[in-house]
Amino acid sequence: MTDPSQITAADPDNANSGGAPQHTRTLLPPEHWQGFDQIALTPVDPAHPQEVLLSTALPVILLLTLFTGLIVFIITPPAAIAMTLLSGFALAMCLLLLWRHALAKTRHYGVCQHELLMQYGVFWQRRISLPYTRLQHISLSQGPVERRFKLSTLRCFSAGSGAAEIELPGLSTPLAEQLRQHLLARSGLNKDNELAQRTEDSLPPAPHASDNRTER
Amino acid sequence: MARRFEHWSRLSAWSIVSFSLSFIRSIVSNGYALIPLLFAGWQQGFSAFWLGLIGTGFGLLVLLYAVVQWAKFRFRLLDDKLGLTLGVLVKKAQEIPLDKIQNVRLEQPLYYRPMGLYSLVVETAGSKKDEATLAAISYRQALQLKQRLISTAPRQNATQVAENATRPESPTSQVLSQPPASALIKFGFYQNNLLWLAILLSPIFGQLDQPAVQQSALFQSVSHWLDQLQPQTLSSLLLLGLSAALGLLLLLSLISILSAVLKYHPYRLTLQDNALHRTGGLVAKQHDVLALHRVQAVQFRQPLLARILKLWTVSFKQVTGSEIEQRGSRPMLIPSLLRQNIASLLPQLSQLSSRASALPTHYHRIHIGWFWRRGPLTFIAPALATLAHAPIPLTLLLWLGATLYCGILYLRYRNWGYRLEGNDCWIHSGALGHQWTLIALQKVQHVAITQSPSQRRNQLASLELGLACGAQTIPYLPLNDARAIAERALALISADNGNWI
Repeated sequence: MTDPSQITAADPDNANSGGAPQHTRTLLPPEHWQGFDQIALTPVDPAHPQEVLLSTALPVILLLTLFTGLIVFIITPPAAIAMTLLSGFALAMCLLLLWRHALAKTRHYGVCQHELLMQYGVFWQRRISLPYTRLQHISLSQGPVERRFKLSTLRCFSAGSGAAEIELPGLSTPLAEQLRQHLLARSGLNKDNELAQRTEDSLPPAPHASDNRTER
Repeated sequence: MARRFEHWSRLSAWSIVSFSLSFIRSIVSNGYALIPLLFAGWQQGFSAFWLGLIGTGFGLLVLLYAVVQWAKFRFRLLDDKLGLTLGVLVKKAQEIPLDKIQNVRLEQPLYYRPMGLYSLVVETAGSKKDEATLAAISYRQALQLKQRLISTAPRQNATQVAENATRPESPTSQVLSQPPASALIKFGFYQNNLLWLAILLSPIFGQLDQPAVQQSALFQSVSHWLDQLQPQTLSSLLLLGLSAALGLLLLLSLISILSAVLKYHPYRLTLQDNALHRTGGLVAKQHDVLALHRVQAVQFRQPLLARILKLWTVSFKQVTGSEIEQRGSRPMLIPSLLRQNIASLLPQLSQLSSRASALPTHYHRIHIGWFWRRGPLTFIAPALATLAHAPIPLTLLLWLGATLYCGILYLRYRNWGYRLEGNDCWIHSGALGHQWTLIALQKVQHVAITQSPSQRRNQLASLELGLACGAQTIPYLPLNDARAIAERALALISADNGNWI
């Protein structure tokens, strides 16, 4: 069950006869594969965790104030219960802040030749790959706190669901704009680049700092 | 024929009927909040004069609205675009490019049957609000329009065009499936459609005033009758409950069978110009068209009852807009197929992106870790109840429920698996029933691999294949397998610039 050759290209007839990849390529043996989950990615802007901390702290402080006001002035339970409730709530809010901060620090991304990669997650680490050919819509947004830190959020949408497949916050605004342009130029939205991409594919991949993915 | 629909034209005046009906339907479906009000009014007694006045006024309003809607409605077919202008209060102009049309449906509601008129429904990428309905068109006109709307569709990428060129075009349609009424009866039996009715009705029941219901005459008489029965022993009460449940089940299946026959009989599925055409329906005649290259995934379902009959339901998944609309959309389905029927059906669907020719017989099961993460957790609640000395019946009930749930979880684990065949990925799932999902990796939009710390230690991962019809997940599979499937999908789609939806 764990033998990958069992479920992969073990049957070359089948692979070539039906719905096979359109361009010629050589099959690599499994031990030479570099999965999209194996390459090292770039972290987002170092200011991003701080930004998340600030944007979470503001509503948390507001909530804490409201909750304290509610307990002290309106419900007025016995002092012991009030103290327990308040400290419990404060502890939960602190944990939330810590969690959001830790999560923000794990956000990484990678711009490859054919796809955009993103990874996040403290315990459950999730890495997602969205090929440019399946990109339908890109949006760039900036909230008030993000504006202070000069950061932007990039969202990439594919078809079918209303939610963004990739939500990449914490990009410095000029970089985000540059990335947006790059994605637009390569995306499936742009029918004209079909030809351009074909010719580009036939050339050896250009050496690029973030383009650290080996040709599949 | 090509220039026939070039100029703005309006619909036949008969369409006023369907405009008024859809207006009434929208009022009724949004107005179930009025039910308690009406109920209260009924209790206090209505004045006949006011009721008549309101009724007449409402009827006139609906008619007026429908007439204005009809007068404002124009459509044309020009430059590979279907243009519409409509709207009474808010004017709307729509341009639907023909290559964005997902499918075209021909419907004949009961009230159009005497005139021989049809409604043509045009659906675009899964979104309800982009749907266009051309009501009350003659059969000839409807067929011509449908031909025009669909004919430009299979113009996908270079390979498909080449494939079409080499193969002689067969204008004759090919019958794929024409099940007899008995097959539909079986379908109605194993596929209980009434679940949906219950879901639709639940908000209405939620709106009902519970104390008011309990005071109503019907409720009182039923409860009085139940009091009168006075079952002597516990066993007779049990027997009564069991027979009531059985009767209800029988009634539900009868209604389900009836609705399946009414909706689908005489079922006929044909393949014409690489599009599936389905006709049928006793009450409202329906004609659905779905271009094969629009199919995102194929699902083969076998509910519990169908396992006894060894029958499968095949449904073709398309692009979805959002979850709310998914409930409204009816996927094209083929009822009551045996395994060998599927094996003869699949090879005929040559324009499907997948190359599968039959249902697989076995699969690689996911890791038992999936079950161990979930199964023991179900016993937390009964264990706590036992420790806290909760009442014995409650504790027993909790233990029983947890055991049942754990059993179902185990079945789910046993049935969850995957299989990669060339460029197709099969996913098997289900607890009591079975389900195969066929995914052509070329249709994948994104892939994601998720790992928890324990999965990382054991070289396991969860794989998510994002499709335009929703994401499919395979949990707890060996990392190497997850990687292999993901990489194969990525290699295919990175090279494919064609339209996949």
